[in-house]
Formats: sequence, C-alpha cells, structure tokens
Amino acid sequence: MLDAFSELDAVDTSGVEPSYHPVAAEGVPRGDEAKPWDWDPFLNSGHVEGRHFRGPRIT
Amino acid sequence: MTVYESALRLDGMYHAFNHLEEPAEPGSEGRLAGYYLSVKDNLCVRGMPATAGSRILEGYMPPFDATAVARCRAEGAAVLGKTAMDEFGFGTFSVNSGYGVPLNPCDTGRSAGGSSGGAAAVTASAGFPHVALAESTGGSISCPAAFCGVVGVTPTYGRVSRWGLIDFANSLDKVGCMAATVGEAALTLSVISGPDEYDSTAQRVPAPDYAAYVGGGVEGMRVGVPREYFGEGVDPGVADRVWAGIKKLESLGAIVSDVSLPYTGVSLSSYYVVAMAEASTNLARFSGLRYGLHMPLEGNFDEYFSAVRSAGFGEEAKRRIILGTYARMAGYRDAYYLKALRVRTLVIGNFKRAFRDVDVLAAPTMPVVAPRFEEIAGLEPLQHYMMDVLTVAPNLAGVPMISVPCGKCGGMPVGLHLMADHMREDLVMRAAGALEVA
Repeated sequence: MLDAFSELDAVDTSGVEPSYHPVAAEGVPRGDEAKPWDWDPFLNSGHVEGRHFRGPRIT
Repeated sequence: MTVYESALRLDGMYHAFNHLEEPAEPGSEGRLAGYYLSVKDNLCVRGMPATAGSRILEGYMPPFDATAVARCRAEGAAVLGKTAMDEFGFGTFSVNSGYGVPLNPCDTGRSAGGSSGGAAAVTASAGFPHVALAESTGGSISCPAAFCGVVGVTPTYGRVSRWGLIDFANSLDKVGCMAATVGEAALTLSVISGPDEYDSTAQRVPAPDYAAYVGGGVEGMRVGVPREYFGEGVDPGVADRVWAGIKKLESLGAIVSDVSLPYTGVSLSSYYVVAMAEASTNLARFSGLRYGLHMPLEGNFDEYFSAVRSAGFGEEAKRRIILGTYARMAGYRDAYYLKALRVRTLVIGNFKRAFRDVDVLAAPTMPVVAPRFEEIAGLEPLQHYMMDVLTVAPNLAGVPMISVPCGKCGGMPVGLHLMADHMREDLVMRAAGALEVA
C-alpha cells in the first residue's frame, strides 16, 4: 500500500479534479413519500427487546 | 434428472453455490421465459440467505429482491440459488471466502477466478437454460468469465441499478451478468438495465435491446489495441490467442490500430486506494446487532463489536479495513484518497481520448490462464493484486466491457476483453457477437 501511495505521488495531478464517480451521477433521489412497508426490520436481529434493538452497554 | 438435481450434481463437483434450493418453474412468458437464474451471493434475493461470502453475514435473510433480480423474475426467470464468491468481492480467485471455494469446471485443480467464481463455474457447466447475475468492482465478472470460458458482461457504471447489492466500493461496483453465449448475455443485460428510483447513481437512460446488436457485424468498426495490455507479465500463449481473435475481427471488416493508454500502470494503485477506502467505510455497518453474525451481549460497546468483527471477517477483509482506514485518516485523506481520485480522472481521460479514434478496445482479459490452487497459495497479497492489472483500469473508468472466449492455451480458456465508451454496450455486443460466430 505504501508503494501504491508512492506511485500515486509521482503522478502530476495539478489542476485535475477528483472523480468521485466514473460517470457523472445524476443524483436525483426518489420522492420523499411514505410507502407501504411489508417487512419486519427486526427479523434479522438476535438482539431485540420489544420494538427496539438491544445493544451492548456503552461503558 | 430435474434442473435442481442437475444443479446439486454440479455443485457437488464444483462447489459453485453458497445456497441452492429447488426452484419454481420459470415463467412461460417474458424475455427470460424458461431460464434459471443464479445470483451472486452479494445480491439480495427475498427469502434466500445473503452472505456476500462472509461469516459476518451468517444468517442474514433479505426481505426484498435486488432490482436486477426483480427485473429478471418479472421476465420469467426462476432463481436457482446464490453463487460462491470472495468475501465481499475481495479477491481474484474466490479463495478468500468464509464458505466454499468454487472449482474451475475445465480443470478442478484450478481456480474459477474471482470474485464471481461461482457464477462462472455454474455458467460453464449448466446443462439447462441458465444465466447468472454477477458483480464487478475491479474485474470480478471478466476474470472468472475468462478463466472458465464463458461470456461476462460488465456494464457502464450506473447502467444497472445497485439497489440490493451488498456494496464493496460504491463508486466502482457494477451489477452485470454471465451467460454461455453473447446473445443470452445481451438479453440479460437488456432486462436488468435502466433507471431505478431506488439508486440515484443509476443513469436515467432507458435500456436498449442489446440482443439486436449481437449480429450487427464489425464491418468498418475501428478496433484499438492498447500496447500497454500486451506488456510484461502477459503469457505469450494468451497473447497469441487474443491476437488471433483480433485478426478474426480484422478479417470480418474491422479496422485495427495501435493505441496507447499511458496511465494503465498507475491505475492499479489508484484502484486499490479507492477500493480499500470505500470498502472500509462500507464494512463499518457490520456490527452483529441488526443482522448477520450475533454473539452474546457481553462486555462494553467496543469489546462486543471487536469480538463480532474479529470472528466474522476473514483475513483479506481485515487487511482492507486497516489499509482503507489508513488512507482515509485525518491528514492523509487529501494525500491518498483524493490523490487516487484525481489519478482516476486521468485514467478516464485516457479512455475518452482513445474512444475519439476507435470504437472498441481489444486486449487480453487476464494475463494468464486460470492458475492452479497450489500456485495461488504461494502468492503474496501484492501478487494477488497484480493479477488484476488488465481489468482494473476499465473498471476504474467505469466503461462497459465484455470478456468473450477466444480459444485455449494449454487446454485452458482464454478471454478476449472488449471495451467501449460509457453507455456504448451496443458496440461491445456487436464485436463479441462477430467473434463468437467467426
């Protein structure tokens, strides 16, 4: 990985903008509308208490 | 023998599936009527386990279909199972898996390639109507397709929705497909392409009928041969087979010329910095709480998550989390991650300039044929990464590509890689279709 950093360092990128995506993302989100919800978000968790996830203690 | 029995048999021989179940009958209507669909295990299928090849996702049952899966089902395909892969796509040989390692149907002592090795193994051996959904970040469709002698299509970034994909690197991941023939791959790509309101990076361009281009021929098509793709490390036998394929295209009326992609060498470094940085953020969500691997809630927050992640992630995933996190650390982000993204801009520019003069680029897909497992065991991580040298540049640039079989070397298949400008899948389909029938 350090070799990769060195190799990149050797490339002149002055004035070059970073490409966050290879193709310009149109970035149009879907409408902010409530839709029917037909699955249980707790289905895959083994740590559920009522309608909450139960997590480890913080301290 | 039923399709399910046949799939069980080939799974017994090649370990191609992470999950296999008796499928419903395929539909009798739709563009994929009569086809069975295998799905790479990093794409969600409602009611089937999804592990992305990782123990950290053990037990996860997605409650929804990925968009690509839903579109195939809507066109008549029946889902057969989930195919084996490197953990989260981290590999070239499908050996970095928390589950089984797929074997190459052409020689079971050799790798099926990675990371979509299971998809290629099923495609190469299925004796029933079958297409596979797969995914590529840096070459994970092209590599196994070449190693197993099947057709593998990686579309333009954003051509196919990533909704329902367990991401490796968001700015690099592309959902694509594999099939036994170019026509079936083109058909499948037409089905899965197109805008999707659930993925804002999906291009808002309707999907053409790619199958219509397959028989279009190459008369007058300009084919560029990048000289950097035939350099050191490319097996002479592989290069010979690929040149024979290029000569075939020329004999069919294509105009072949030499081109240069000078940033090819540095693309590998750019790719690995970007890919690892993005992977390290994506993998932060696996905490053993809401889904996947769970442990008893012992210790504090840090102790619990460390225990789950230590047990659930494989060695390569841990390596990439550490390296990717390093590349994104405060003070290093501009020097490493942003620098790699700037180099990506140069790599994209390379391709864009080349596509002013040529319609498609033709090169070997992989520098070697599928290696034997004992050879892979002797490789250092950096040598693993070097195997991707021919596939990472087009993946980094997000251009469409297809690997199509072009003969054998030492009894093993060789893949010819055809690449085109963004959203010009039609051109690679035309060229690949011509090669297939020549």
